[in-house]
Amino acid sequence: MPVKMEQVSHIYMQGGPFESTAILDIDLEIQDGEFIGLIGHTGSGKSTLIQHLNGLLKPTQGTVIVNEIRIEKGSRELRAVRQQVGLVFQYPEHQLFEETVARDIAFGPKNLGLPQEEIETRVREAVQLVGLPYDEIKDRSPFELSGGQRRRVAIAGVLAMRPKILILDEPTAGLDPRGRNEILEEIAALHRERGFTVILVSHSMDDVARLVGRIIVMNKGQIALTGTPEEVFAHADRLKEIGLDVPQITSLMMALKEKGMDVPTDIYTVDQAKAVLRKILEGRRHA
Amino acid sequence: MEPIIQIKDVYYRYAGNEGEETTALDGVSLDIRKGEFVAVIGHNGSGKSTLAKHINGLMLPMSGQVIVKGMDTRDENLIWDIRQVAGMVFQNPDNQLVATIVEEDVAFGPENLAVPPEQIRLRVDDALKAVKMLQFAKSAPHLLSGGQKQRLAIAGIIAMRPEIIILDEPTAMLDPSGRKEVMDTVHYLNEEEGITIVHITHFMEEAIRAHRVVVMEEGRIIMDGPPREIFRQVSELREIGLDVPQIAELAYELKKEGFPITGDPLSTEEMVNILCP
Repeated sequence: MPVKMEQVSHIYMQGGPFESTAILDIDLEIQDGEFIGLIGHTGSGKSTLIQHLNGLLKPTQGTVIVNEIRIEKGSRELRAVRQQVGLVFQYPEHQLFEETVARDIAFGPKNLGLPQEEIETRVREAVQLVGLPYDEIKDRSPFELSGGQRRRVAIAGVLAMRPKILILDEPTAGLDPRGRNEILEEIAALHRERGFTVILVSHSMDDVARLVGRIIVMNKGQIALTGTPEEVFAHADRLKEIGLDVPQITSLMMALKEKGMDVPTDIYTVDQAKAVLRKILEGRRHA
Repeated sequence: MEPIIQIKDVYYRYAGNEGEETTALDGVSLDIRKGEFVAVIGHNGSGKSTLAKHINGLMLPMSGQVIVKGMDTRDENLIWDIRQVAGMVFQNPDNQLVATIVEEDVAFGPENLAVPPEQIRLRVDDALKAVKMLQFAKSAPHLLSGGQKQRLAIAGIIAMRPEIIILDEPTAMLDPSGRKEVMDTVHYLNEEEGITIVHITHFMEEAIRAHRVVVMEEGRIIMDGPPREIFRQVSELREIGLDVPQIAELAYELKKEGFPITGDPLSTEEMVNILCP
């Protein structure tokens, strides 16, 4: 179910005194099964962009095509798009409201008018997909769970709609390192094992670089860079200029290169750096 | 000189949902000297926020003692004096702002201390200057960015003329540029104004810049020392699920293979100096 954006612009409060252009002339194509990291700082347009992908926002200009459904200015009946594209907002646990975990997750499917057994199947499946023990947790109040568990329940609520594309806006915000790694690992598994197309929105380069196949960097409402993590980090200067964090390892390699050492500047993990430096240090040892 | 914060063998337990008790602080002792910048790290549930809330008397020890600038937090008559000495900044900027205009928000604290109006004017201007927000004095807080809102929350504390500021994950909800704004402000207050800082964080790159790092796990302090000493212990930190800065990890890995990496580098510059002497 490919997604396409053609010359999409979105202007908030057009014609008013606070008119502002959030995204401008975006062309973008996303293939089935891609795992994409969407990066950019606050105000770069990334949240506006993802809200176009499930029809929450409609373009001021241009067209968004999701599974052959066209979303344009004035388009109606976008319910089909919203079922296929699941959007997990920032701090999704703030949206939990039901008395039990199972009922909260069932809320979406119930509103689709599905039969009771089908709803139960979907809830069970969604809970398992986010790595929580169904029998232990289904009758508990979502509000007595830990922060990380609450966030998982909220994600399960979106998965119970059986979307094909999953978009997560800052899914690790406010979590501790352990919670962050667990959630990221589960998202990676949804992509790897279940074939979801995943779009991960983040301002942490470190988090995304390790996981995704393609990075899209937004700046001032436009796509500034796109490519594999290696291709994007090869433009570390540009990333710094935009004001984004570059992994420490990439910065180190750039600084070493400046000092005249022969090192690649498109690497970003400790293991990669270790391999590169091991070679150099061994060379020195024998020199 | 007596430490400005003395935490003496403090225990604190919560009642859980199904009757079971959780020990949040399990015999914590910690002295913090005036002017120190202490980072507290540890994952969720390790007790760091509970510890922070003990410092300004938002929570009281079930046993043990917390003494702030000579005042015992269990003494009800001193609680307002303690909170004036030790101000607290929380995670969510939107929950801490009370007024519709920036300068009125900053004035809220001193007004409640019954500071005379002309004094309030001075304090508000000084506080906004310290966080570099003077040009926003007449703005509406809801139109500010996350980093600006947190700086405003800090200004509100500064207007109370505190000697200690406790920050409970003040950057968790901010983007990298907002995080930098807030951390630069906190370091300025520590270095230029001599304010003692207790900074709770999940970001190791913030902990690196502290004078001292305290690591908490299951309600206890398990490590306490300068950042360099703490982040040298890569495998111990990993074991309890904490991150290690990439450079520290790289140094550790290279050392393990017998390469001469000396001095426990934490920053890119330090590593460059070691590799290109």
